[in-house]
Amino acid sequence: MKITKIETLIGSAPGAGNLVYVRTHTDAGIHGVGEVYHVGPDAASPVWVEYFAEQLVGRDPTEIERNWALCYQGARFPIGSSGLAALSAIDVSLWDITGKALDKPVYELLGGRVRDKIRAYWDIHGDTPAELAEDARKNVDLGYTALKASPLSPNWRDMRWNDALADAKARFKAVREAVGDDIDVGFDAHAAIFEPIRVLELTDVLMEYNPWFMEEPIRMENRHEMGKLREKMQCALATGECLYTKFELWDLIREKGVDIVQPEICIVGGLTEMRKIAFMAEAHDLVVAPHNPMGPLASMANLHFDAATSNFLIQESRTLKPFEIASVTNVNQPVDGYYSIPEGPGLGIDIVEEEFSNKPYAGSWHRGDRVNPDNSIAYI
Amino acid sequence: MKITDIKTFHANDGQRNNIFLEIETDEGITGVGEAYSIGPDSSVISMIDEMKIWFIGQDPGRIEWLIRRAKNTMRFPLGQVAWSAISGIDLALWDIAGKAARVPVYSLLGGKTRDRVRVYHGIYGDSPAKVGEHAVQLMDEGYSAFKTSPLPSNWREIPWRQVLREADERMAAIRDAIGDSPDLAVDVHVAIRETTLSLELARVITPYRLMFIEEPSRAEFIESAAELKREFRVALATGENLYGLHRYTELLNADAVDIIQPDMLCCGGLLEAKKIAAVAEAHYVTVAPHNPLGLLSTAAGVHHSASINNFAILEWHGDHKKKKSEFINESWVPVNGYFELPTEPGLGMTLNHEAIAANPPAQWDRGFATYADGSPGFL
Repeated sequence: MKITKIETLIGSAPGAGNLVYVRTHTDAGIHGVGEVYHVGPDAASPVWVEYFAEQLVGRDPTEIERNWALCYQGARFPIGSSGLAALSAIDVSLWDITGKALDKPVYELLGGRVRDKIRAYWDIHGDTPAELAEDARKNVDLGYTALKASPLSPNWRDMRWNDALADAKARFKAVREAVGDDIDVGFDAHAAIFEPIRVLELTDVLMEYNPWFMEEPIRMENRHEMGKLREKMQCALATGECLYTKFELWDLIREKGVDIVQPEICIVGGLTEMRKIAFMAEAHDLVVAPHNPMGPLASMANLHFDAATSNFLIQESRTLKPFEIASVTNVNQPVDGYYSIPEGPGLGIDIVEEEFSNKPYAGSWHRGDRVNPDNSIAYI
Repeated sequence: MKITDIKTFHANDGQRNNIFLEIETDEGITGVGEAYSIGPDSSVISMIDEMKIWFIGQDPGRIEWLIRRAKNTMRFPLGQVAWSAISGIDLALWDIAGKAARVPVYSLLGGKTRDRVRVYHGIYGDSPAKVGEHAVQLMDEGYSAFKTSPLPSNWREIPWRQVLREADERMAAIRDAIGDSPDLAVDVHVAIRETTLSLELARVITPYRLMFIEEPSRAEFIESAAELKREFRVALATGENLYGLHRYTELLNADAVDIIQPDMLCCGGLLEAKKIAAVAEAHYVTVAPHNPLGLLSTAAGVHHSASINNFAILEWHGDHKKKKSEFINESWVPVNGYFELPTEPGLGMTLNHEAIAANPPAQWDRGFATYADGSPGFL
């Protein structure tokens, strides 16, 4: 079997941003799909896909490790966000092809499934403590036993820090009152806080209500500081979504900067790299909770990883937008707080191409600006 | 598919014993594996016989689950017996998975990363000249990488200064015979306890441009290897005495190694080896699998080597010419120092039951090494 073509499908829908998918074709009539991380300047992604495709056409798609090395090592300079996002999607598409060729779900190519169902946590939202508590209650009623929220109110940058802390405490108190003590509630500071000491203060005020973990408590660039912070932080530290390849994740692990590893399959290097990171985590008695804000193809690839990985903890989940749901043939969604094991062959999902012809690419996507009260630039 | 039975086989190959196993399934697919022959071999057979009820009735495709479950139920850290048993079972499960999917095992481990697998050949002889002669003869067969002991066989009984002089003469004689070009490694075989002595030896033989020095320190204390690596101007290879992902990670995190040498028959098997290789890759460390046992060990080594990007070279002892080759129906012979990749489903080897039955196991141990004063040495 040989790769004949790798194409990018890119579409935009109002309110849903861009969707960037990859489809790898073979001379055996089998094709595989993967999702590109939505990095912002999304027009860069098809360029990278084409660059890799020039090297991959004619090669055996089931030689996944070799094809990965061909792309990664061929670039020589460390590949940044757009390139790794493209490589990640291509890698996932090759696993999909290999699974289809062998008529097996992808997890069976990873040593088989180690679990019968996959626990999910749900991202909850709310501008005020009351709104956040309401969303928490709603999702616990739907069967979720694990939730994640922002610890801070959306306008925390405009608040005095002590007021932001008081508000954070009020948010968690409201959630605890709404769902009780038995639900796991994690928090995501989203790499938006620059000073490590402030996160420590934030976590300290939340400890009264027993947070499950604090995610991306500080920026990701300095893994040494993450290690120093973890020495003092009282709850588990979750991070990793912004790190690239096993090499950066190893740096984090070596600095003892993480309890719960959160690689992003669509940017870290695909399923091949996810597995290697899980093995490194296993060697250090760490667990993995895949980051998952992308679309349904990313979710399905994560579910295969989750099914096969012993040191998997929990899968991030959120509401898929109509364009995302329409863009694929099917997608597993959690029921009673768990995903079912995905069915194959391959990833067990395909792209609905018409959705992309209806929704052409409308331009690059910006996260928007975040500024401090003095108009200096904040992190987002 | 369900596992219906696990059968063990024990055969003497004229030098030591080989331990094989077969996992049978209700769909008629049988997987073959091999476990490490650790010396008191029957303990490995007993272990497999006793643990097989954990596997019977289960889906053989759930390799991670089956192996994880077996390890977890044993609770205490596994030793050489349990790691060997688990490794043999892992190999047989991958053989089944490959046969069920009708692809070679490497195709289930991320696919092949290379078209052929390079080997180095062990070289032997009573004198350095004989060792050199053996290498030259193997060069005619196409081999281009070799490994030998740097020490005279009676080194424990003679003064250390004499050991170093003879080691120097030995390496000079071998290089004279084979020339500068072939890759040449040496194996100290965890026999030297003192790191100062190993370092002195390394300084004497490093000028002979070695591919690596293997096991220059004892395996129990990883800091010894770390200390040596800080001083070495030559690659340090080690690991065959370690079991499982965690011990290898300790070695790697200690910056104690350049080339790791997991043995597929006791490191935990092919899945564990894949995990170990991934951690090694993040440390910029390559993998040269240890491979002294039966032919199935070579098969597993070839599949593993073919499936990782950070492979260095595979150990090989010309086993196709030895009695142990009778135990396997297939014959794999390196061409120009490389194994071509197998294309048959699974591991690509099957057991010759008649030959195995005709060669019952014999009591085997390594014997004992002693220093000149009669105290026990390492071997």
